[in-house]
Amino acid sequence: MSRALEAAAAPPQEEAEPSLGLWAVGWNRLCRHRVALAGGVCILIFILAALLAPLLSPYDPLETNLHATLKKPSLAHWLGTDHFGRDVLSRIIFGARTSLVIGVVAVLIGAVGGILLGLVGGYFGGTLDNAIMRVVDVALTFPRILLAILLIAIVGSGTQNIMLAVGLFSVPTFARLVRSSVLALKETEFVEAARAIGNGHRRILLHHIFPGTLGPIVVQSTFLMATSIRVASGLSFLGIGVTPPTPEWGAMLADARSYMALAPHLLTIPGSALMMVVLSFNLLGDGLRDALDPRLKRI
Amino acid sequence: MAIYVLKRLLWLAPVLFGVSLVIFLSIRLIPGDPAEALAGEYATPEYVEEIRREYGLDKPIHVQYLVFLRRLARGDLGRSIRSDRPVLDEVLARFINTLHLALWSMLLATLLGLIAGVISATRPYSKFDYGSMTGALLGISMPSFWLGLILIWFFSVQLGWLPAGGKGTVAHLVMPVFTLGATAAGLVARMTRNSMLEIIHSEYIITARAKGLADPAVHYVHALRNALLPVVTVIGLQSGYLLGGSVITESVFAWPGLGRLIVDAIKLRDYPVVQGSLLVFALSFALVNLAVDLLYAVINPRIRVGRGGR
Repeated sequence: MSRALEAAAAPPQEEAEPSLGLWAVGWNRLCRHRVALAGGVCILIFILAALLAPLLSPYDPLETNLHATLKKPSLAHWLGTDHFGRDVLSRIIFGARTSLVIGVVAVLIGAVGGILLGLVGGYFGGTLDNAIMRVVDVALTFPRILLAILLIAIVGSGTQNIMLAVGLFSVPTFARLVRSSVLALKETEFVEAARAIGNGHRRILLHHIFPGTLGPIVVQSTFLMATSIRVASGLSFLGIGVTPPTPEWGAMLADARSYMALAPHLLTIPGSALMMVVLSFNLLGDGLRDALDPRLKRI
Repeated sequence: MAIYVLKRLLWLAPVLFGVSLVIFLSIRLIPGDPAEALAGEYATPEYVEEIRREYGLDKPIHVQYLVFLRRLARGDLGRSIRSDRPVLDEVLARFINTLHLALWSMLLATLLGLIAGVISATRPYSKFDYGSMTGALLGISMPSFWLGLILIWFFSVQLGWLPAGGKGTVAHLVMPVFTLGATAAGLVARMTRNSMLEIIHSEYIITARAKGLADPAVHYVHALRNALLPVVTVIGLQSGYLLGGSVITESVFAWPGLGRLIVDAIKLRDYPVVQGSLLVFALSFALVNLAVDLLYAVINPRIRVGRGGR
């Protein structure tokens, strides 16, 4: 059964449209996927907000004003203020930066680790591969948030440790994904040809096999951005994530809890932002999967 | 079947070994002296020495692991730094509360998901279909702590109908169960709908309809049974994840379960409790996964006859 799955996860071997590459075809398909595009646009806005945070935010996200606490949305504070009189809009914009940075770094850690393990294990096989895969199997049995909590129990909380905790536990997901692609690719004729003309292992792996695994990696990374951002903000909500004054949506929600009767906007705004971002990455991921998976030839 | 069960049971061994090793190593990876970590910040030097002797922390690391296993076999997980009670007692009492919450959530998710999924599939592209699938998408995408807080704001703060937290009456269960089960409900609903739609358009269903069977008979007798297979997989996977989700839900609703215990213990650096909770969590995941795989083999003959197992 696992062989069938591995074969099914294999990247393309023949392309229907010879004039266009996989990525061009994928891009065309993605453009026709309206819901995914909407997700993509949302993510773009989110990225811009994160990049331009200091220019866009009307106030310093850390600046307190005890004369204007728990204010409802108004012209002076478009999204109101929190219990320290900090401007919510500014904190939301800087919170986008926090979440995006955590998400990107966590996914990078997971991808780099997972790709290395998957390439090496899948290509060389044998005892090493077996050992890697057993560890991966065990790790995948457990929910990510619990594994992240285990690591935080050891290294403590804080932004860097959150990235590490969330990222490290994406390694098994990537490792399994890449390995199954490699297993299918290394039996193909073009790899055999590359070997026949005398290429070394490293060249075959990096120039012939690795590019073929990129499609599934891109799709998985998109989904894992959603998961990483959600788990990281969950940890911050629990009080074992980013360190307090840092603007972070999950931590903002934890603060909002004590003031929900007086200032419900503190509850609705960060939550909506978080949900929009998570949803957008998931929708874009769905679209990318349809677009980059050549098995689905419904054009 | 017997071989499959045996294989699956054997698979438990490396999992348990891995879990015990990770938990054993975790305390030693904390910067500083593990004896001081286990004894707590305010422990007397005498107590630190006692812990060091008891855990064999002055001996080589492989001996330490054996000591750890021997204590584990006796159910001795040490004492909580904060309450000074045996960790096992504390952890088990909390675990029962978590189980309680998780079981009700699973039940709710299964019922809600199946009903919504089946109705959506039998009336595709109707108002009900759009409504329930939007609800399912929300259930999947809403971070559970936000959903929980919104529920508290609406039902406790605004309407005053339900208690905002704690444990006791049935009313205390309503919001935590819904919050914890929402994601699973959404996933079950989507899976049921897709699976049913696929089956409804298959040839044998068209045959059943062609021979004159009424729609309900076709839908509920012929289609649902076969559509359930992938749904069972989703339910199985989710029951493990429900236990993980309990960490957040329990904190939102001040539910005295294992998830909240572990978060509190991390904040208080109560390492024996952290270790004990992780161990119980890990064991329960391993067992839930085992149960799901066995159940799946009972339902799906292809697994037990063919080259089963991983």
